[in-house]
Amino acid sequence: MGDNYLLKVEDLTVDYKVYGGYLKVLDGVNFYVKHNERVGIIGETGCGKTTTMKSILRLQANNAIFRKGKITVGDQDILKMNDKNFHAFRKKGLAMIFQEPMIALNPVFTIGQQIEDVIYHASDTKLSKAELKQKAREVIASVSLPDADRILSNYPFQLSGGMRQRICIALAISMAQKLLIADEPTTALDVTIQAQILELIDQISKQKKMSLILITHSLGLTRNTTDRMYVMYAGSMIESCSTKQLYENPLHPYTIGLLKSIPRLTGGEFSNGIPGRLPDYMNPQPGCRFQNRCTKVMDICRRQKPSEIEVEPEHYVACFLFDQKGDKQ
Amino acid sequence: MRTIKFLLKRLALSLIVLFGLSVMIFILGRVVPGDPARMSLGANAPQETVDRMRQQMHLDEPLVVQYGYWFSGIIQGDFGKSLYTKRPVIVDLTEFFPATLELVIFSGLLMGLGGLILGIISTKFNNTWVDNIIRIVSYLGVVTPSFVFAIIFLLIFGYLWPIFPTMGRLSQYLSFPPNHTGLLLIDSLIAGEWETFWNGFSHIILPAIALALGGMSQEARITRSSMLDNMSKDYILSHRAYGIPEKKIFYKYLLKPSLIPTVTVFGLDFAVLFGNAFLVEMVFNWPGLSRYGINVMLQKDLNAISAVIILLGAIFVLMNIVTDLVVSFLDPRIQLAD
Repeated sequence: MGDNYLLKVEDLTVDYKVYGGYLKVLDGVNFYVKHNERVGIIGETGCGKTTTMKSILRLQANNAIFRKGKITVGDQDILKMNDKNFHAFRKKGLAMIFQEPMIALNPVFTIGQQIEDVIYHASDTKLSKAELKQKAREVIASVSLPDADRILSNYPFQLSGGMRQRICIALAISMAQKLLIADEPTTALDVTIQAQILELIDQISKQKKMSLILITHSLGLTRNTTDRMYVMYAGSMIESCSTKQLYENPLHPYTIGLLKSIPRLTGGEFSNGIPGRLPDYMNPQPGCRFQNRCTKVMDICRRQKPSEIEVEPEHYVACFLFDQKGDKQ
Repeated sequence: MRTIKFLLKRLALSLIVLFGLSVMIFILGRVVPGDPARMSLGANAPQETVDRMRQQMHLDEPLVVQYGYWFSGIIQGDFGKSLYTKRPVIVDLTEFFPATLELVIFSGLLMGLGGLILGIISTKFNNTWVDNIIRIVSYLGVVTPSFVFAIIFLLIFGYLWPIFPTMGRLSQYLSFPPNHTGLLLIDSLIAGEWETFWNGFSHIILPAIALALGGMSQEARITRSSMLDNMSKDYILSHRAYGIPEKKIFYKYLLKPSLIPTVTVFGLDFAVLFGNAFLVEMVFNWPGLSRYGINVMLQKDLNAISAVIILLGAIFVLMNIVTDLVVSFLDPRIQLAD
């Protein structure tokens, strides 16, 4: 463990208490982000991406229960911090951009009121009204929005989706932070706007020397933005490697299926995707959670949960297919 | 500028509503069996006198013309003469209305503040015993008519444990302060008569609470449910993620959008207080408009009835405008989307 890790999540296991039992959503999530690193996390809807990110920011829903695991940011275990310390810590270090810019902004306050409040609370010194306003203008300009004064006096519903997402980015960078978590920042947007927003996130995180976690279920988006990728399935990371390796040499059957399902402009038929659905989180079967959809399923997959295996340098897969020592039967 | 335009639009709409109300009342007054002239003169009056009266009251002219006379009278504050008190209706109204207005304003303040505070407490202590007690009590409050509360209060505080007066606005041995607003509490403050103020206060507190409880419960429930609803909204999560302290999130970013339904319901409930006051005033012998209203209805005193209805209608319309205005300040989407 070098000091180079900014964020390290180890064996994070989170359940949701629901009527009739527990949804065992996160099943031992392991991943890390280094300083100045740009990490992509892909996985289908409902695989636990957002739950993981909300756990890092301690924004989890009331019915979430931490079973075990550790989240370290820098040298601090954030699950052990009290609320007050974490609050101070979070606004200095972690910022998140949400999936739906349409509902991530308070509808009855102006953009200016919301941004100035964030700046006010993030600042160590007490800023005057004029200073707050000036800083808010600068932040608006930094996300490439014209006419800052007008936008600051606008309400969220007066802005388009793309503009709102820019405002969310502006809110995120209004705090001095080290890690920017973008949770499907472009899902709710037009295709043409998607590229712009992604470019903005890319450019701003580089400029501010921030690490980035880009969560998405769209593979195309992560290719040029990230250094390293995690593939998440049903509550754990099943493959991790550099972005280049992932596209050139995917190993896990799920990753292969995922890459195959990208429609190609160069012709060919549409893929059918990966048949089957996510497992039942209430009563997950023992063993690998992908077993029922896997084309290469073996007996051991039904008995044991695969651990991560380093197949080539820095390329980890949680699958028994690559377990040389293991008992394949 | 936008607000003024918005206000003018609402005012115009309200005038249409009031016009419709006046037409309805006028027609009701004319289709009710019985000759108003004969009714005001009595059964024994000679036919010529009745005919002359009919002419005086313009009853021999077409309905539209009759309405014109009637309406222009109302605009000038002339509602005709009351058959019950034998005085111009407008004099009766100016005598009885302030007492009701004072009761309703006081009650409305209790209702709004009480409902809001209970709702906030209920949200803060969501799903604890505090919340459960408030919820049970507010259920009871919503389903119990205000006159039942009035009677219960009368029994408890007038009979079993007589700590509050239960009759009228002021004790016999005190005289009313000089009239400025017609509202006893304010007038006594203007005159600096503390004893009168406290005496009036102790008189108004029971009927006002009895009147307020229903609406207060309603407001508490609505405030609670809309705050809890908004609490799980994404924007609350993002305020939290962007480093706003919890207290500020609760009292600023959560409270403001949550107040919108509360204010809407409060506006309606406030107007309804005038209606509910009818029975509460009877129980507490409050010398207000409601008792007058009931008496004139029993006497089939048409002029007075239409005056009371138009007054209440105007209050409803006015409260609606005020509510719209307040809501539009809370929720900018309403004004700007027009």
